[in-house]
Amino acid sequence: MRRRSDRIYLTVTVFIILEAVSAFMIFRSGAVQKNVLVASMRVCSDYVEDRWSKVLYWFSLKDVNRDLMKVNAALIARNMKLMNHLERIGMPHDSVADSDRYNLIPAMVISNSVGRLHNYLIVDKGEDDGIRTDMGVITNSGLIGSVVAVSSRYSRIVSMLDTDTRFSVILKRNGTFGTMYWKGTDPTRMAVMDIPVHTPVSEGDTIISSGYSAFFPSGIPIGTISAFSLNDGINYELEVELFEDFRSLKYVYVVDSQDAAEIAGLKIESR
Amino acid sequence: MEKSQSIIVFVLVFLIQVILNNSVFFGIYLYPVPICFVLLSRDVRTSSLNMLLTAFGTGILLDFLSNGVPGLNAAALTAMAFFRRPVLKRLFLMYGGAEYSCPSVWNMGMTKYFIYSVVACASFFIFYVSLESVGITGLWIYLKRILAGTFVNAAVMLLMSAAIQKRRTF
Repeated sequence: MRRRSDRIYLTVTVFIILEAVSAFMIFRSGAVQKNVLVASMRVCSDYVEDRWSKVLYWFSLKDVNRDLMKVNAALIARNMKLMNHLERIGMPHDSVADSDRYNLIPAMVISNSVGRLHNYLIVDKGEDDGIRTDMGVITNSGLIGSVVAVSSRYSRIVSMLDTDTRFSVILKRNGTFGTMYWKGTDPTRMAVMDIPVHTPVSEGDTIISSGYSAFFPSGIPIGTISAFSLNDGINYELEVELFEDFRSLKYVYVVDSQDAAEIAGLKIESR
Repeated sequence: MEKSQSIIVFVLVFLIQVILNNSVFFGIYLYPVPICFVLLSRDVRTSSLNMLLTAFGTGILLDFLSNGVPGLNAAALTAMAFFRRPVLKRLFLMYGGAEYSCPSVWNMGMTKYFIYSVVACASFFIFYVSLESVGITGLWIYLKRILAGTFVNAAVMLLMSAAIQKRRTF
């Protein structure tokens, strides 16, 4: 039985070899066949090359993304400088004005939580990249938090979704200040308190950062008013729908404020 | 004696094939291959390896003596030789019988022999036409060439078997 199967294998092998020899002769001597073979091989190689380049491109997307983050950070910084210049020459602006004092360090979020009363993020940049504690963290569409701990390669950030965190914001329409905080329930909404009752407020108004903190530049859009109510008879409490979705946060910018140490020193002195 | 007769028939048919290849043009759809008949008429007990090498050698010789692309007939005849034994074995169960030692229209009957010829010629022409005109003719022409070559040659083989192999094999 085994000899029979061996014979079959031998026959098939010899058949394949003889056909290969014949095919070699045909494609070596026949001009038409040679052209067809070359054309077919070119089509195949082009196809394989195309697919392979797509695979390589896919694997290089991480680097591309990192480069884009750097470019984006540079553009945001440049935008802030221009806004600053506009302010100096007396033209109105609707974004960050004091950006000469800030450098942005792009970072990728590798861990994030939104379901607790005190939420944290971890990003892939640390002390080696110039990050220090008390730096602010932002995106194009909102404030994210502040750095509370750094290692050589990673940083821990306390999220704005923290019930103990308070920070000042302003109504973009009229420049009224308020204090923003998180109630601990919905990660897409925050609240603003201490808005005087005489302030004109309407749904859809934009809330931006005030710049009263050394952590964050002013004028960063945070969200829009989705509802408001009188809190204690003299102040409004606003419900704000955030522009940034903390649940799908991927990339952030750590704000390196050049004046932070100086401002912090003054604050200590004043106490 | 039978062996010498076989050799004479083989040489004669081979020469006819060379003359047909070099001197007669039957159009693009028809390619007479009487040399297939000689290979198909070999003893069923001939080993597959023997058949393959004989077919390949015959094809190579034919290619070098003909005005064509070297390797075409070798590839096609080798394919035909490769499929001959399984066809005989599975369709006709001819092993063991003395009178069935050489396939012919007389010992197989007209229908079975015609089917045998058609399968063998089809395997020849599928390889031949595919390798000759791969990528340069349309599907319809490709199919017509295979069908015309297969059925015309199968019919010719039927006639040759009836005329040459009468009652005895070679």
